[in-house]
Amino acid sequence: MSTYQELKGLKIKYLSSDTSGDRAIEGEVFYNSASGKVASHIATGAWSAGAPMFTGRNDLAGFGTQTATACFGGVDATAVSNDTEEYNGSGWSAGEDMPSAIYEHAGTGTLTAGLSVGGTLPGGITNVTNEYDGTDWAAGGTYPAATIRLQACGTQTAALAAGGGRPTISAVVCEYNGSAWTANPSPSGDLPAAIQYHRMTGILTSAVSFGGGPSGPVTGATATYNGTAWTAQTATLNDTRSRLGGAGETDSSAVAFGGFAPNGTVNTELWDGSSWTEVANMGTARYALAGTGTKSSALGSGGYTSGRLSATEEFNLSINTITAGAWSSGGNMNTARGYIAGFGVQTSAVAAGGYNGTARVSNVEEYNGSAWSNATALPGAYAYGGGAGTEPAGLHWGGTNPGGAVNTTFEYDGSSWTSGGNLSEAKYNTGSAGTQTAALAAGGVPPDNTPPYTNDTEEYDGSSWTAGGDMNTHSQAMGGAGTQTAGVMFGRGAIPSDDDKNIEEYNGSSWTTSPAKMQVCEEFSASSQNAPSSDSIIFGDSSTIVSTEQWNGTVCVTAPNLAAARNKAGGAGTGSSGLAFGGLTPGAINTTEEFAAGSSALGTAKTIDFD
Amino acid sequence: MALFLYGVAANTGKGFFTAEDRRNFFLRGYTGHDGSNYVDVWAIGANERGACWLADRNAIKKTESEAQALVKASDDLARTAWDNDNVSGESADEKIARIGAKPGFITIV
Repeated sequence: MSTYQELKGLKIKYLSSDTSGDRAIEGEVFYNSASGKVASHIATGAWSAGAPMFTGRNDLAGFGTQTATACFGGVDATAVSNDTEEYNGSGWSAGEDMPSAIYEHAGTGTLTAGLSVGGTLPGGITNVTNEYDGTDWAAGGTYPAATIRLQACGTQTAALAAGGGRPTISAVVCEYNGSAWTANPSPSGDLPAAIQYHRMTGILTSAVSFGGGPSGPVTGATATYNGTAWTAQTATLNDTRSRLGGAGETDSSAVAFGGFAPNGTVNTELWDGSSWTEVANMGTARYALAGTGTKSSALGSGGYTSGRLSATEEFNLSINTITAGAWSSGGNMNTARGYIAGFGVQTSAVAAGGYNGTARVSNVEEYNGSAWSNATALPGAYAYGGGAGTEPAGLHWGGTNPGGAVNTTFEYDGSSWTSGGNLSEAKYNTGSAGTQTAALAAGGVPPDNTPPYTNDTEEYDGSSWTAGGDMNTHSQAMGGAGTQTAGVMFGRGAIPSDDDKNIEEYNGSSWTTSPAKMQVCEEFSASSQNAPSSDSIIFGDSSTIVSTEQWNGTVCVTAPNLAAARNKAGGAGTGSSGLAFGGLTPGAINTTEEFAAGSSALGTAKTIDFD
Repeated sequence: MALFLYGVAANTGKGFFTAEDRRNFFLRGYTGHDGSNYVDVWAIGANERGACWLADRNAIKKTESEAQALVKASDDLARTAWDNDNVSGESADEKIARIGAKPGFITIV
């Protein structure tokens, strides 16, 4: 008897539009009655830019996933490095330094349980193994021989390492059990051929080695390991190369990217266990980079192409379209200036007062998301003032006028300024957060300009200022974010000091110094006032630094760079929708940049034609 | 092939460079001075999209040394202005507190 399936075929979903949200399943065929087409969401590979590393370097190693990676060692512009940097999917933060500077080593494992093996120390080729727990490095079991340019895969307690130079190029395979290495373990035996500068991904019982160069010409050779034996595959990389990046989970699932072929390449290829298929290119050609993650979610970091690279790129094999965060140009202000009091959101922001390079100004401008328009000026020319609130309910306090520091407060209703209660003392460059009726003014410079400045906090209730808890650090020119009861101040302790990168958090009565530090920025890093303190972006540190950072409530990580450095810029918005305007370079500028956080959205379903 | 292209084009504001541009090629801006006016100097990643972006903005192409010279001219003006910005009786520390440290020289990319 025939079945329904044999008579009618398989059922598919009948929908009025493409699938969306959690109904979208890769490869599932459905009928779209609106278009009259049968369609399916097909995963495609694509690279997107991530926040750059602090330090450009090549011949570094890494371990972890796309959203939890550590990269360590390598060669930077001046020397061999022992730096560790950690990536959380958004940006980089500093990790614990390695015990020694090292390069051409191998890494495998996870951010909280990783391995570094072999490489070159300043004293020469090494057999050292180091283990990372996400906080500290510790010595592991010694590798059977001092080896460079080897590769490793697997976990901290079940790892595989192979190839490299001793300095003679080697095919030897070694296994690690979390405390000791075993060379030539049974039954795996050696790699099919001696190799170095290759890439190996997978786990202890299922791995693939690809690319590399025994010496001279590079190769696309591919060898797989099934837990029992290594097999040289007839399929080779389409783009033969060495010193490449790669990621993967098993002997039939890997991605190869970048490499030397013979110059830096952008090519990316996917391995399915039997063949390599070219997919989307990287944005930046490079070799000697770190590769971490998986076939469908990989990370390429650093490397070399005519210079050492800090660039980070994320690879995603997905039915979703991943869009990286980026700064773009906004409308230009009518009056160029720095030391601006800024507040509001990206599509409704206010720039009040400032310094145009020669004098303080009273100009106020409003931004609507695309253009600035002149608004009612402050009652006087003020620069270095504090600002908080929104466009229809804003606040400006303190700062300096031609006579020096002031204690005045002005409230803005979207069309005019009125006097509010005075600060307890005149001051400028305070850190700012909060709203018109619940503002926070932290630290600042008193009229005598004398370090260590002040650590006073004042709270505004809509009519008067009262004393709050003292900051732990005497600070000025901080970026501020959050609210009166959940505020955060970034950077700039008293000069000279080593507190420039401090972060302090306020709970409405007292300040706590965060164990986290800012990564690059130090001062006047305008950020997101009146936004949740865990959603802030910090920028505008100097006329030479384009770095920006994001605060997630726990740690500051690097974020996409501004297009142009700007010092003492105004800021508004949030961490995911920020606004930077004006500043000094060192002359006053009028340009604006808008930050849009990265996003992920379902791609268009592919239609299936039967013609 | 050179890593960067250089050009001078006035930043006209919204849409001058987009988030998509930032994803497609390296872009970094500097303030320069051409002897008469301040100008916007751009270093662009030397790929097809970067080159098209420069062309679409009618940028005046520059060599690296020409671009660096424009930025240095701006730096020179800022440093001179800093030297000349004095208040009677003010100490060096007070001057730095008032207007910041003396500007340095910016090296492009």
